[in-house]
Amino acid sequence: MEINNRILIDYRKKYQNKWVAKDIKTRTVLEADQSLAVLDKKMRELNKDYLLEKVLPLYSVFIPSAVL
Amino acid sequence: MKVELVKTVFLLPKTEKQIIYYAPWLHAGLSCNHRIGRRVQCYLDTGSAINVFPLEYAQVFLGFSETSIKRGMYMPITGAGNSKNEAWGYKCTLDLGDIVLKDTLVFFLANQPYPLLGQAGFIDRFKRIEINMKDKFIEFEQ
Repeated sequence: MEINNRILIDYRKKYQNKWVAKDIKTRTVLEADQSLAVLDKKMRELNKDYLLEKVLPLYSVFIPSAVL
Repeated sequence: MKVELVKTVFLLPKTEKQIIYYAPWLHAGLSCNHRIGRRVQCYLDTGSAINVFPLEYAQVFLGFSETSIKRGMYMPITGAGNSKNEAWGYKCTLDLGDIVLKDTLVFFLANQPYPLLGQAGFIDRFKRIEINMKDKFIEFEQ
């Protein structure tokens, strides 16, 4: 089922420019931080496996090679 | 291996107009330097010549420092707008779940926001990669 645009926008607004740790099965957000090292430390304390995602800014277009 | 394209929305700053597209994001874990990194969302970038991971990922998960990473293969990088940077490459294992790519070259770059899977070392490892925009999936055949 397609995710509602509003949910996607709210997610991007809340977590933009952050690394996000998601539950492997449910894909819900467990923790988020701008620093990957800080996020991983938090997750090691929770002792939980996770998927990583970097959330892009909401108000800009991403062209991969333009970020260098 | 078949992966769903990911619905993505961004907004135009002045008008808040929504632009929607379906992006080829894949989850992959990287093993290198005798360490195993977390599975991370990577962007399939046919415009990138090489695989590029954030230096931050190498530091947090793969045991590299800003100094030790420079023992790798040096590669000057030119991006859009003729921007210049430098990266260091290592032979790594890329684990996509259903497919594992061994001895694939991955470059680590400071200020790279997230991993890119490019031509050499990723796309060239497949016989066929098909992006199906109608049904919103991407299929890989080795």
